[in-house]
Amino acid sequence: MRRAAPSIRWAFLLAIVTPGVAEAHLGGGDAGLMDGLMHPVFGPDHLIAMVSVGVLSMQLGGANIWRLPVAFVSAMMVGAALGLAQVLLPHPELGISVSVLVLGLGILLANERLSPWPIIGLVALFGACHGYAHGVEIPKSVSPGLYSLGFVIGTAALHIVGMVIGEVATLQIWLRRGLRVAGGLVAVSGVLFVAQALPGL
Amino acid sequence: MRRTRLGKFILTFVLVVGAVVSTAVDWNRTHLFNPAWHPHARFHDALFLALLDGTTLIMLWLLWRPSREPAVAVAATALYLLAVWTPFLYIEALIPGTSLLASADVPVLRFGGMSLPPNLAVAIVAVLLSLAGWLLARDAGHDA
Repeated sequence: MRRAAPSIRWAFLLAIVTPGVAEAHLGGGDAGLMDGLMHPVFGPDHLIAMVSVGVLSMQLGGANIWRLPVAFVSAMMVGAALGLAQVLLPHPELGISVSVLVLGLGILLANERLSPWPIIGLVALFGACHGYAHGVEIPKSVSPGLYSLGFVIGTAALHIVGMVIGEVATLQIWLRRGLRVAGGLVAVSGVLFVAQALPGL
Repeated sequence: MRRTRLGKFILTFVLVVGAVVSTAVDWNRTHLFNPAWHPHARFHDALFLALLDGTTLIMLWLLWRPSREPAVAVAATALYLLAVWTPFLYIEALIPGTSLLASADVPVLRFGGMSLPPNLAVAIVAVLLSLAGWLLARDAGHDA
């Protein structure tokens, strides 16, 4: 029986221990897409903030229904690119915590007479913070493109869930009041997130 | 009007994301170009992707074309999406030898001892969003 040449044996060993070469462990069958999809869902701060953007967009009404989610997702992609490039941004975790607090206050106080542009600016800033966190946390073993596609889709799905909640809340006055209370609770959770983030500064 | 548009937007989102994610997840060496797969199995995967992407384009046209009966297009789109995504819930139980997981190393979500394959989680979300989209847009043409 012939034995494989040493170079072939070394190549085989290298392929097994180097996932990127073997393509056997690239985050499973999707090479990171599912990881990216689930990342916003399993971080409570991301989850609450992204659903809140959808709720707030429905409360502001009109074209803001689309402007807020588009601003958040677009800025998130820019933030993710900065994170992926390892550009240092000051206190992104604090930005994420503050986003929960401010978006909660937004749901509590929002009405259709408010000027939307400062809110859209803030939402974009928060989107950049969330995107930066996604970008720096992209695992080395997965495709950055598929991972990014995953968290963009996951974020958009959470915005839609918030939009459905915001629309359903218009059906009854008690649901509308309940939504305001929920906004207050989101703001309180934001205070807790900020308190957690502050000692790390 | 706002409710109808939101519903149609949700149905559009599920259509487009379903086609894009399915193609992205299958167009690699773990599925379509997997040398361990029988050529006919790879043919069927390619056939599935071509059918999914083609019918998605047709449903997008159906949903957004000017029509006197927009509610029919909304119902047809929701039923199409249920037909695409509900098989994830039962195929593994119905047909022995099939698996939701492409390989043993696919990370599985775990909730209190229960495991949930990621594609099943996506299918459940797609079904729920499809139902939400239909509920919001089912009165299309009556609320203008």
